[in-house]
Formats: sequence, C-alpha cells, structure tokens
Amino acid sequence: MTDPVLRPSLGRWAASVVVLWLSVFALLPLINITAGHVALDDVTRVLTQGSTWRLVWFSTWQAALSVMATFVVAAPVTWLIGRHQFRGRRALRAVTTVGFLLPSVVVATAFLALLPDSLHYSVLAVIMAHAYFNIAVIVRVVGARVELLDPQLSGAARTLGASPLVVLRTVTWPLTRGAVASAASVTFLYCFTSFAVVRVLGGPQRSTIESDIALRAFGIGDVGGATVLAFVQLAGIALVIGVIRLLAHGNVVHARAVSPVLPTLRQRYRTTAIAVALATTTFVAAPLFALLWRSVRVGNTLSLEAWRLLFDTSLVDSLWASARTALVAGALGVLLCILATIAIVRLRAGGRAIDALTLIPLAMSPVTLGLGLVITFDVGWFDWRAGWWFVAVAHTLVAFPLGVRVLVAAWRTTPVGMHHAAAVLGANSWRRLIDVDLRRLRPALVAALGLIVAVSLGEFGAASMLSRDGAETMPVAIARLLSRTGDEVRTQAFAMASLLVVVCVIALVTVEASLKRGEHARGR
Amino acid sequence: MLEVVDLTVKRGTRRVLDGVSLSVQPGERLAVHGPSGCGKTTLLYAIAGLVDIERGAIRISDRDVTTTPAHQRDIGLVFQDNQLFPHFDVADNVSYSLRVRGMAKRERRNVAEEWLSRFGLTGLAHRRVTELSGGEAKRVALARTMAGKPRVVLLDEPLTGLDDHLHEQLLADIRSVFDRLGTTVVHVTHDRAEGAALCHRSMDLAPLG
Repeated sequence: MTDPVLRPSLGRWAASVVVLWLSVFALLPLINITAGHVALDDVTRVLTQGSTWRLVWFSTWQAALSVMATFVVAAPVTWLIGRHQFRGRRALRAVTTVGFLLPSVVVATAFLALLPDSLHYSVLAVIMAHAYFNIAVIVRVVGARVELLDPQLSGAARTLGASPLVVLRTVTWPLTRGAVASAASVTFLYCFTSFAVVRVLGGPQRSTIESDIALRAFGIGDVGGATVLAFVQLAGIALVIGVIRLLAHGNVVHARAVSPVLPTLRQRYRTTAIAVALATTTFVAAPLFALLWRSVRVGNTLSLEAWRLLFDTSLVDSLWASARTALVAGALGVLLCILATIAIVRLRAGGRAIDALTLIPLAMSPVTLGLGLVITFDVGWFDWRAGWWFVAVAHTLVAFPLGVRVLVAAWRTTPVGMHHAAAVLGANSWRRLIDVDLRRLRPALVAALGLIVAVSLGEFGAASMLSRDGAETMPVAIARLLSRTGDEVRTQAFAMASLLVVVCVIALVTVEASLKRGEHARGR
Repeated sequence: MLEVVDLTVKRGTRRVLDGVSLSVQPGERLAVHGPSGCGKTTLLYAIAGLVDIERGAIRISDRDVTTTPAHQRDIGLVFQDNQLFPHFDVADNVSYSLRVRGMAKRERRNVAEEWLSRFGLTGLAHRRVTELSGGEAKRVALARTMAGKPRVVLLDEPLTGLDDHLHEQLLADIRSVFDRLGTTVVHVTHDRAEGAALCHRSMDLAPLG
C-alpha cells in the first residue's frame, strides 16, 4: 500500500538539484585537486619531508592538550549542570555555549586582547582559546548523558557499601565513558583542524596542517604539496570520525536512561556550586570584556577612534562584504537546504544517500574546500573566483550540512495525516509543500537562515582563500589588521571583532528563539 | 452517486481489502461497520485517493476517479484525529479548501464565519487550533470539510472519544447539516447505534482471514 499523496517525484526533482550543486561545488573541486594537481613527486616530497611530520605531530599534541584543558575547565560546570537543579541553571548552560557560537577569529582576537603580551603567540594561548570554544561540546554531550543517569543506580551502589569514589569508578564512569569519548573526539577534531586560532594566537612559527595548507597554496604557490597535506588531514579526520562512530556504537549497550528530574542542589554543595558558576562565567566573559575594553583604548587613553574608523575607512567595505555575503549565503543556503530536506524525507534509499552526500562539505575542512574551489574555478571562462558572490557559495557549502540537519529534524515532525488533510481539501503537491511543510516549519526555516548567516559572518578558512583585496569579509579583515604592527590597527581589529560578536549574538538568539517557537508550534 | 467496485488494497503482500463493492445514492448516508483492523479506514482512504489500490474502480456521479489525484476528487474526509493545521487559526483551517481554489480572502472569511456559526463555533475564528477543546476541534474539522461543499463526505469515526453529552449534541448537529444540504456520506464507525442515528442504511466489512 503506497501513499499517492507523498509520491517521490518532488523528492527526485529536489535530489537532482542537490546532487548537481554538490557535484559542481564540492565533488568536482575535490576530484580536481586530487587528479589535476598532485603528482607522485608531490606525494613523496611532502611525505618524506621532516617538516610534514612535525606539522602532524604539532597538530596532534596541541589538540590532545587542548582536549585535556577543555575537560579541566568544563568538568566542574558539567557536573553542576548535569546533576543538579538550581536557579540560573539554564542561564549558566547558555553561558557555556557562548564560545562555541562565536567565530574562531573573534575568540582568538578576544584572547589576544585578554592575555598579557608575554603570552601572545604561545601554545598556552592556543590551548586556552581551544578550551574556550569547546566547553559547550563537553557540557552538551557529557552533561546530557549525566543528566539522564538514573540517580537510583548510584543510590543502590551506596546501599551496597560503595564509597562515592567507588560509585564514580564502578557506576558513573562506565555509564558515561561513551559520551566522554565522543565529546573528546569531537573536541580533538575541532582542535586538530584549527586554523584561525593558530594563525592569530600561534604566531608565525606554529602551524597546524590546516594553516600550512593555506600557507603552501597561497603563500608559496605549492598547490601540489597543499593538496597532499589536505589528504593527510582528511585521513586524520576519517580516523577520528571512525573512532567516534565506534565509541557511539559501543555506548548503546549501556543502561537505561530516565527522564531528567534532577535533585535540587544540596546546601553543602552551595558554596562549591557558586564558585564553579562564577569561575566558568568569568572564563567565558573575561575575553569578551577585554575585547570591548581594548577596542576603546589606544595606548593609555580612552578613545572611540577605532569605532569611528570602522565606518570611515576602507574597513566599511569589509562590513558591506560580510553583510552581502551572509545574506546571499543565507538565501541560497536556505533554498538548497529545503531541496535537500525534501529529498531526504521523501525518498527512501535515495534519501539516505542524499543525507550522506550532504555531509561531504563537513568532511572537507573550509581551507581544503576553499583551495578546491580556487583551483577549479580560477581558470578561463570559469574565473568565478573574482566575483564576490563566490565567497557566498563557499559559505553556503560550509553551512549547508548544519542547515540541512536543522530542517530535517523539524520536517520529520510533520504528521503524514496533515498532507492527507490538505490533499482531500484540494491542495496539489506544490500547494501542500507551501501550506503544510514550509508554513508549518517557518520557525525552523528562520533558524536555518540564522545559522547559515552566523556561520557565514564568522567563517574564516574558505574566505581567507577566496577573498580578494577590497572585498575581504570581516574575519579576514580582522586577521589582516592583527598581522600589522601598531596600536591603532590592533584597536581597530578589536573594534571590528566586538561588532562581529554583537551581530553573531543577534543571529544566534534569532536561531534559538525560532527553534523554541517551532517546538511550541509543534506542541512539544 | 458514489460507486465502489471490487476494491482490493494490499499492504506489502497482505490484502487489507479484498473485492469490496458498495454504492451510495446522492443524498444517502451509509454507515460502514466492522471490527478493528478490518480495513474501514483503508476503505475511506482508498475512496479519497490517499492509498494506492491494487484492483477495482471508484466512480462519483458516473465519473471514474480511480486514478484521479486526491486533491482533484472533490471528496471530503473528516479524519479520526481531525488533522487540523496547527499553524493556521480556526478560520484559516475552515476556509482552506476555498483558499486553494483561489477565493478572495474577505469572501472566504465570510464563508468560514458562516460554517463556524452552523457548528456552534461563533467567536472562535481567530483562536489557535491548539487551544481548542476536543469537541471544538472536532466541529472545526467538520466545518472545514463541509465548507468546500464536496460531492461526497467520508467520516472516519468522527465522534470517537467525546463524552456522552457532547457525542449526542454533535451527532444532532451533523445530522441537521447533512439533512439540510442533502450530503452524500460514508460513515465509518464501530458504534452501531451512532451509525443508525446518522445514516439511512449500513453495511458490514468482514475482516480478512
């Protein structure tokens, strides 16, 4: 018995557009950099160079240390949020998410503003910024698992004579280690492929694989070498994703979860809880306040000169470039996300294939993606790189997997009966798409739009490859200002980063509010 | 006139309906009874064009609609769980079929108000459907179906889950509307008394072995 109302023809049509889009702008560049620009000589040259393995080693150990630092910073607040109910819990959780939502260039710039000069361009600064980013990953992934642990399990262990430490070792840890491993792997992945943070805070003598790809491709014109490195990094990413899948799979066997009715914070933990909340909030807020403070301070005097110059010099071109890029990426991205979602929810096996296909841009780092686009579309008739809109295409690709996930999750909540009701009331398939799916999911569409705009505003890797002088986006302009000497230009960078914080926060608050409104409208 | 001839519907390899035939004269109301799982809802869905059929024919006023898409059949269906659009208010739900036919907004608002008043829902036009009681939601679902003036109305256990008082009241209202408009109805219900109260005759759908 098939459902004639949900025939897959619309899905097939949508799938063909998405496949065409991904083939031209993701697969073709990937194939092109592999087939067209790598000679066997490049492979042997890069893989036998000592510097390559030093890069791999640095990328790996700084990522490992960053993971450890993230856990040190995030563990107390994860325990507090995951195991206790208290006033301000939601606000504290929101605070821990701030770093993850800000553009990497902004976070790096904020730490530059916060830390003393002696710590600039140090591994410690890089690790601190990475920890700042990833607190949210630990709180969201591990905290969610801890929240669902049945408190009666540890109670049972206690009544059987287990001390708190033994309960932790024999009950809590076995039930949460899967989530801990997943969070650690994701954090490792982010830090392993770090670009903006290493470029801004690491200084010229430190490079990850990602930042070296950019340097080779655009600094010294070694496209072949950059491509080989891109594959070395892809292999590393594939390895980590494999480990995550393995660990996530292993996690399923663990005990039943309960709905989270958390106990109220006990009196004896009050002081500890306040200390943890204060320390976490300070860690999150301090770099942002430092950024704002340094943006109004030139030398030892307070001045709004940097802010005035933002709108008075060529920097205003960056604001305009960022705005139009984000808007075009948002519009194009939402359209493509809708098509991909239709294909995923309407087609069975084909839907699963499209779902997997939409992850391709996520597997390619932004720098690799930018490199592929430049190589493929920088010749002859296809000299699209010259167009400002091409950065928007790259940003659409980077944000595409995220937008699709937001829409698919919401779209799948539409009961099939609602399509049936519209059909018997006379609505054809296009009308049903507009009236049932799109109108009902307007909040999710706004959320996807906000997410794509926020990603575009903060995206640095691909933009630094594709932006040309005079049409740089804000993150690229910030990095350029920071690479120059002088108090004044640095203050301008701080001002621009502060402005980017405000814009991104507005975009992300819109996303959050839209998702909440969507859940409310769907009666959840 | 609605005519169903030798209707067979399969779910996977299992037959849900096998050679079902029925005919309903214009203005006639037919109750279909049968135990749970015998395919009553599937029969309505097949008539409405919401499931593909394996074999058989469906004719409305001598026009063969067997392969006509659901939105072109001019058949109304009141779903067991209403299926109101949560993103539209009450009036927009009721006037939806008029909207897809391109009727102007002001005009369809007037029609919606008229139908709301017929079903005792005056004053609820701008209410969100998620804020309606069970009885109100059911009335909105009925009004939405009737507003499009379909040639045949299919009712899928429309009064299930209502308390006795509401059940009797709504039954009387529906009967009065159908009597006045001379609506052709197929009414699926497991409640024989309800079927007898609303319909002119009844048929039994036997479960397949």
